[in-house]
Amino acid sequence: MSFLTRVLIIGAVAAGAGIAHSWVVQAGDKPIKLGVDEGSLVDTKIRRPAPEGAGTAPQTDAPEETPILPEPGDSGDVPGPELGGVIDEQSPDTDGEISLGYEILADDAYLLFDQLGAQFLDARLPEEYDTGHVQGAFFMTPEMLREGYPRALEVLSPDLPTVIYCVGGDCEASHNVAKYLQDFGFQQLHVMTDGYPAWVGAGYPTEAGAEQRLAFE
Amino acid sequence: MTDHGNKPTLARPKPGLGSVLLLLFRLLAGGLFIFAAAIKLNDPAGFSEAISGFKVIPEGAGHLNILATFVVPWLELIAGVCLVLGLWTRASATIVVVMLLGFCGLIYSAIYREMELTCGCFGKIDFVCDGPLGWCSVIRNGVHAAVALVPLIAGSGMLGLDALGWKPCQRDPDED
Repeated sequence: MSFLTRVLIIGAVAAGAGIAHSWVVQAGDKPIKLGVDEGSLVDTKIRRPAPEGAGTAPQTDAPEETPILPEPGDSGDVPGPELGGVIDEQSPDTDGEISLGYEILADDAYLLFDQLGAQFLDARLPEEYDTGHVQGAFFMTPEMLREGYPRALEVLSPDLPTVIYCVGGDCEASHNVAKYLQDFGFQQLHVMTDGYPAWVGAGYPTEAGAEQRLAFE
Repeated sequence: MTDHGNKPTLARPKPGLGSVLLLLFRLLAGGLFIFAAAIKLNDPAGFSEAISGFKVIPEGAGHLNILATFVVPWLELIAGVCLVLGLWTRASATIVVVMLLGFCGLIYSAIYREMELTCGCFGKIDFVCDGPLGWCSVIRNGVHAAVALVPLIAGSGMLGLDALGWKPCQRDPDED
């Protein structure tokens, strides 16, 4: 039997075993999910604070880029102007609602933090969390959720909006946490796509320490 | 002792130091592959997430991610077992080397794109290298490939299943 034939036989046996194994797992009670099911998530509505000089209509050509100054939070910091979200067309005046979907930016996340007391989950490495994290954020990684029911879930509420973040950019950890949380009944899920660096860069509330992380280990 | 009619044959040589060294190389290269495969097969969801992290599979091709999640560890397992047993040694060693070089390429592409992720090579276990993906993982895989290169070139030695099929018949020089 030639060398190439042996290589092909090993490859074919492995491919057959892998495909059969995948059928068994995907047909079972714990199939592998590749991402969150955005269709069954619930958007979070928040009020867009009135800009300075209230009474003037927002710009209609690019409403998402209109600078908006929200009410100051407990930290007294004033966040930056870049806001996403979808402006509710039923309320086009200066005090309308924003409907926030699955992927949001740090400024949107701050509005959830400030107005609704959203719960934040940090999906980075433990040492990164200990060095600094969003004020009040819980440490939660995909590995913790895969291995069972992390203790931190006992204090989290599926009825509150949940914002998950990691380092931003190509980081997938926050999306992976979201897909597992969906299985635990969380529907108001948001991923802060520009990550912790954007939160810090905007001057939003942070804290450091491992106490909260260790308390739920 | 004769075989093939009246033709004289050589007795099967006893395994020497070379065969023992080859066995060690096969055990190391194949054994590590079996270990890595077992970790991945025990946590396919984790390996699937590691594959997603590399962002080499296009959006909408989730089935390729699932395929890779299961076929890659099975290929590691079967090639690793063949290498350890010394069965089809050169073929299985070739698969091991090619896969490791492929992993090196993937890790290098992640470093080049400045991606902060874990390779999922050994699951949660930090084998030699810890923390996010870096040059340590490239070097580790490169050394592993170099170890597998030895049985690829030299074969199984006399301490492998391939040696059972050893047929040292000498040709009669007067025959065609």
